Amino acid sequence: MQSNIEDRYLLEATLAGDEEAFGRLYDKYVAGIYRYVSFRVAGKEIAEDLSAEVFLKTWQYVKQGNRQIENVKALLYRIAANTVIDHYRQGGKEYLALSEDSWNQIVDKVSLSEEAQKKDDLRQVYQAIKSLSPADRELVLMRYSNDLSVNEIADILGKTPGTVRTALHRALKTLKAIIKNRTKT
Amino acid sequence: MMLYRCKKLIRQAGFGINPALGWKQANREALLAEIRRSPVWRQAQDQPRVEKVSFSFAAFLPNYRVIFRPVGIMAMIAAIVFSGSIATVSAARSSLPGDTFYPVKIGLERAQISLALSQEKKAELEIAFAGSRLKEVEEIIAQQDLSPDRQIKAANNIQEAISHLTTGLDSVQKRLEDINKADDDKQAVGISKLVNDNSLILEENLLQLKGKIVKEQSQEKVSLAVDKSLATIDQALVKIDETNTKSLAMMVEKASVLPGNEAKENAAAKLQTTIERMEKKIEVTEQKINSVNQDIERTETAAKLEAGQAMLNKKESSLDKAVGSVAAMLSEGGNATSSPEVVNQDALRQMVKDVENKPEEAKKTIEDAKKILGENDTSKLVDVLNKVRETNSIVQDAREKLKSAETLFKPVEK
Repeated sequence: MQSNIEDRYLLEATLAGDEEAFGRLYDKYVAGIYRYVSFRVAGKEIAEDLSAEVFLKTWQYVKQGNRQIENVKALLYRIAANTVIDHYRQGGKEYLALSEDSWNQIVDKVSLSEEAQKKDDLRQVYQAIKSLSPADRELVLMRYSNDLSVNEIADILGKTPGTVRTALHRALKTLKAIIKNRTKT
Repeated sequence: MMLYRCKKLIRQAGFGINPALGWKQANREALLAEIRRSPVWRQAQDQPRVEKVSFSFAAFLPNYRVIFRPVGIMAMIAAIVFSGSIATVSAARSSLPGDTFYPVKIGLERAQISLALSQEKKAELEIAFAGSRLKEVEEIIAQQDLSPDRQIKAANNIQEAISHLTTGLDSVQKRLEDINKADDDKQAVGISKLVNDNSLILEENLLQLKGKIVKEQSQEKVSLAVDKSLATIDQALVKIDETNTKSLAMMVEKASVLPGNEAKENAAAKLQTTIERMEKKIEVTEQKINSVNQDIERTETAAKLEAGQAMLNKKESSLDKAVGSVAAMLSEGGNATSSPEVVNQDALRQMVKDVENKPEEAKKTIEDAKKILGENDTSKLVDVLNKVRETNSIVQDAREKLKSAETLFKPVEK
């Protein structure tokens, strides 16, 4: 709550001529937005370009000044989600919500000194997430890879927290079943 | 694997992805620059800031005083941090290839391009940054001294700048393709003209810079590094030529379908300039063929003289072996024709022969282009363009063959 009030103040300050206030919003959210985008597209350069676009679009939205912004963080992630979807739409490709490229990068980052088991587990996690439905996949990734709360996810998706909580519970149940089946086989 | 481990791994994976510091900073600077450009921000500058912020702040936040104070302190901290980033950014802007901040400069430019609102602005920036690469090369050449280490470093740095130039031109070409696919013909004509005008300037400047690069033969390492940088420049020149051809084609094709005469007249004027440029290119290629021919002649004469001198020496050394010497002379003469140098020479002659008629061929095609353009029929602009393209490919082909001939010629020189 406190964080959102501060974010809204920063937006007001930007509109009042303090561009550095927007810079502070950028500092606060750039890593999260970049992470969100990176998980969903292939390639560092595309992730950088799209993340830059997210902040620019946010500013364009804010400067119109005729719409009340309730939750700045939710607005940023909503714009990020639409930017990624647009990117896939323009390329005529199916939106996957998890890029294999990005995941492989994460797997590669696991150093040799760490147990080989971790690499193996990460590969299994990827396969398990991939088996989820697109909606469930999105929920699980938002909740865990972006560390967003149920309320924040609800704001981003424009749903009630109750609906998101139930959907997330179901998604995790499915994920658990997938993992169980994979371990058996 | 348990579900809790799965969640933990997803969380860890998320935190394993972080944006590069250079990009983050460059993008921040570009974003704030974009905000400063907006009328909303400019208007706000003319108003008393505190009142406005407090007023609108109070409108949605009853306890604003509680929050305002920590935010004020945060603003001060941010200002200090930001002053540091300004120093970094200004250091980056004046950096040259090989400097620590050079990647930041490149990142900053990329961010600026991605934040530009229109395709036109993006293309403008890309072209401007290509010009910056040439300025960097100019500075590197000006700073060069005679120490071999510095020369090698300079050659490598030139190569880096030129590689970025080539990458930038790739992006310009891609942008042209995207614009070409879009429906806005008028915008396409404008951008292609901008690219075409500037690619000509880039070509001219890069050729001048190439002429300034001194090739130091005394040190093999230096010579190798310089050769590499010259090869990179040649590749960039080819890229510029490609960009030029692509932009010209787009300009002519789009102008042909646009209503009104202005765009068509502009395209015709551009074609006229290209024809003149092409004529110069043909002339230079012709001169190059002549010069390679002369070089072959000279090398052959030198080889004959050397062989004659060797034979004379043998004759003088022993009169008794006169008969043997003549035999040796004959045998050496026979061997001379099959020595690797002369084999190269023959191949070289053949190569030059292959391109000898190219300038004439190109002249005929360009004459045709001139004739069609002289008819002042704007519906035939695409025909002129096709003739110009044909000429260009003939000249390009001749140039490539001559280049291979020159590589063959090198061992003979040594």
